[in-house]
Amino acid sequence: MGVDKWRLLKFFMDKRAITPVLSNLLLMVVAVAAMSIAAATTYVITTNLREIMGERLIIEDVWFNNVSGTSQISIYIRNVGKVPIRISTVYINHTRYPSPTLELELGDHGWLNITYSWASNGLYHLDVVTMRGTHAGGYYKAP
Amino acid sequence: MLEAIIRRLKRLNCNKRGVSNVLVVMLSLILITVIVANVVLWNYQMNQLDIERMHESVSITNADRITRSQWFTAQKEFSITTGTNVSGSHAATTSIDSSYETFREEPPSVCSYPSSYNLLGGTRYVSGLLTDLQSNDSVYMSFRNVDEDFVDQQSDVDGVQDIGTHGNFDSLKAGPDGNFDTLTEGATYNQVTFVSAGAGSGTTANPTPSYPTELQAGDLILLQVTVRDTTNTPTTPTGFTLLYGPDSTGTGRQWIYYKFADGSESGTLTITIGGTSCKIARMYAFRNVAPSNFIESGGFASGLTATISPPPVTTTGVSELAVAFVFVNDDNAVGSFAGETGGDWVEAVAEFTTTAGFDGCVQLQTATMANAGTISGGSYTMSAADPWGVRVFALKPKPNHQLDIEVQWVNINYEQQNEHLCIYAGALSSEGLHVDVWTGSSWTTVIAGLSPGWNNVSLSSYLTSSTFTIRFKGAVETGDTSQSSWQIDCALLRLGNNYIQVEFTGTLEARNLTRLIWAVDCSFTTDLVNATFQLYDYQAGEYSTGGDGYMTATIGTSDVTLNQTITTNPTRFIDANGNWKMKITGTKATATPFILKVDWIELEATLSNIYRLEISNSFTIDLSTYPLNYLYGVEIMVRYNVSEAAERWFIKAYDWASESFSDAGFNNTSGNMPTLGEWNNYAVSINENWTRYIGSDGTIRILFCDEGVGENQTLVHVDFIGVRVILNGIRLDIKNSGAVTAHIVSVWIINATHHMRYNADFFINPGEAAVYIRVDIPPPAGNFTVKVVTERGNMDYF
Repeated sequence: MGVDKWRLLKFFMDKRAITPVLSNLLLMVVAVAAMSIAAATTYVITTNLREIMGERLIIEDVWFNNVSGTSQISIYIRNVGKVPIRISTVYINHTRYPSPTLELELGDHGWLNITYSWASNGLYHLDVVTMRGTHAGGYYKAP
Repeated sequence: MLEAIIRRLKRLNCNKRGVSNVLVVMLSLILITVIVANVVLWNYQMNQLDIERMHESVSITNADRITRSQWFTAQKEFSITTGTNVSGSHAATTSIDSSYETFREEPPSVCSYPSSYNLLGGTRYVSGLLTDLQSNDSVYMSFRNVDEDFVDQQSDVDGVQDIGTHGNFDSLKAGPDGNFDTLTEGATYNQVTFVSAGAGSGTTANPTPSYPTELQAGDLILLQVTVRDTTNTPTTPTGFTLLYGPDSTGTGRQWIYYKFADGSESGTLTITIGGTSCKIARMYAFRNVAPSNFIESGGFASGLTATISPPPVTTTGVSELAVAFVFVNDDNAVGSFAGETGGDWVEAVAEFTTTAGFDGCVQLQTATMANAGTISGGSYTMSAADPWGVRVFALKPKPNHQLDIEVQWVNINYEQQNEHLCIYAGALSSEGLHVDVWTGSSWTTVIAGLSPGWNNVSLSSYLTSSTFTIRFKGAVETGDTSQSSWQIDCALLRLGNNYIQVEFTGTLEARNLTRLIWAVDCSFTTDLVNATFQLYDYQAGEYSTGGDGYMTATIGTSDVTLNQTITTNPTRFIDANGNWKMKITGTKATATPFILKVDWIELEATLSNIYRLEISNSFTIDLSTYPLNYLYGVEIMVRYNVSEAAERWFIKAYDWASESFSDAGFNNTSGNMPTLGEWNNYAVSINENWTRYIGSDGTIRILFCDEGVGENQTLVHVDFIGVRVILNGIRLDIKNSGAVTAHIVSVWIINATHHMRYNADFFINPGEAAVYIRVDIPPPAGNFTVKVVTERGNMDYF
């Protein structure tokens, strides 16, 4: 009995194995943490890239009208891409104009009405920009 | 080289930094995978989308307002109400060209079919409906010449109680259907009787008893043997079997042996027994004893006093005979037992005594047990006390199986040409089964032995009243020890005549009747039936017997169509109320029942000298392309040519609500007067309440008819008949010149004041052109622009 106690105490008092074990564990933890951060960052960045790449929208129709009694330009937009889009800004002749928020799911379409005092036979450059920065637009002549 | 690789691997294995390296490599691979999946593959997909969009090329080659659909034409032959088709088919009326279909006016006629029928001469209805007679389509109305009258009840006309049982009498009332009534013989019994006894033999040597006299084959011989000691045993005589014994009194013993006589036994029988004691043997004969298992309730009693008391005997059946074999070890006289109950012991034959070997006595007493019961008690007191023994038992009678069962018909129509008793039998016992008929005072056998299947016998000389009785009787009625049974499926009487006669009646609106055509299509279930068809002549007051209104034929199992045209005074076959009658008679002298199958009966009456033409057909509008909600009316056009322009011609449409042809709501209801020898285009449009003319599946039925005033027969050539709908929509001719299938998802109608968008769902294969009709898009007045947009985002204007 006395011999067994002594051997157990000797095992716990032995300091020679602690340093290599700790160093190895520490190295692994650091490596895993670093790579996890890198992976998460990469995922976030590439997902954003993917969404930007997947955005496609077209302007089906542009209607210069004053149906509501106010001159406005109505733009019919359709989402033909692979991700939902949200229209953030409309530029008319490279000038930003406030527009109502328009969110379009995949395959969705809808009118975007911008109050604008257009002139008959005027040529206007319309540029519709999404939140992710995708553009759709061109020159349109008012009737 | 190999050594270098192994050395490097060992070094790697020993290097602790390898774990971290592996982790870094694995996580790097994950990063690369994420990047590839999210960026590279996605980029590839979007590029693919862009390429497909670039390759898509849809263009509008033409855009038009449309106010009429294409013509919908006949898809089947015209139905001709009045008139005849001369040449051509409906296909010639589907386009305006040089081909046409020609019809000819005919005098109008109406057809009449039977509305009721009467059965004559005992004819029976079998199946079918009167409506089955309205077309020659092998759907029949059937009649037969005989009636099948199944047995009604059980009876007892002869006062003799039935013997035997029915398994299920009701099974006889239908069939043959495999449901049998099993007739089973019942058992009767003759009383077992004592016949006689042979001469007894008493000796100290081997006894030699005589056989009883009057022996018959089957009689039971019982041999009583006693020995006045308890050591010697008889040798069982040849042909005998030990029944009881040894029964001992303490001084002597008794054995009872038996055998069934074959009728040839005579003389004496030597019984071998050892020793020199007194030995007695005697034989007795009994009749009507069951050939096997013939005894019951055996018992034995013995005593040393002067009073002999037999044990009781209990019988369980009828006609049994109780027997008591008494033996005494002395030569005492023994009489009948007295004082017993339940029967009467009677000494069957005087006892046999002997003085040989210290004396002995044997005796037989019997008691008739007509019914089941117990005979008990009784005794006989001898003159002296001596050892005695009594063996008692009962002899059971042999059964005699018999069948005598009556069945009966009541309320039968017995005055018929054909009267047959028909019995369908199934499995039958080997014993024959007779069928007897009751003549009123006795039974006469009409079927000496039933066979499996049908057993038919004529009853013409026996069926003389409305009640008819037969009995089933077994062929062996005496000494029949085996119980037989017979399966009978059904028993019926076939009653009828040698002919079938049916009268059909109907009504016919026959004003201005000028011609009558009557036609019949029928057959029989047997060959060579002489058939007569007669119309009733109301002027003569009888059925026609020749000429008009009379047809005959010999008809077999194949349908035969007969018709006759009556042009001379046809009105005599129709009464003032429009009623007509027709009689069909099929005659064949045969005992085999037969059936008349009538397929078609029609009277066609031509009503006037005015020639008419009425043709109609169905035209189906494609409601999937032209939904009713977007339609404004219907147009009908007939292009025709006539050989005589003497009357106007009309178009009508079937009103599905009122279920009749009408021209209400037509822009022209006055008809069209054609120009002789020219092709005439006669068109009408329906703009008011036009939906009543369109069925739920888009069907419009069109009637084209004359005015009904022409007395000359006119030929009408029809080049075209069509129906189209009035609408207000657009028609786009679209061409897909791209390399991918285009899916048009929206259509824009744009003018100075409106930009209207309509959802679309239209596919065009690559390289193809298609017409896209939208009846739900009313084009605006004036100029407008049409734009189509594809699912990929391409557009085209017109």
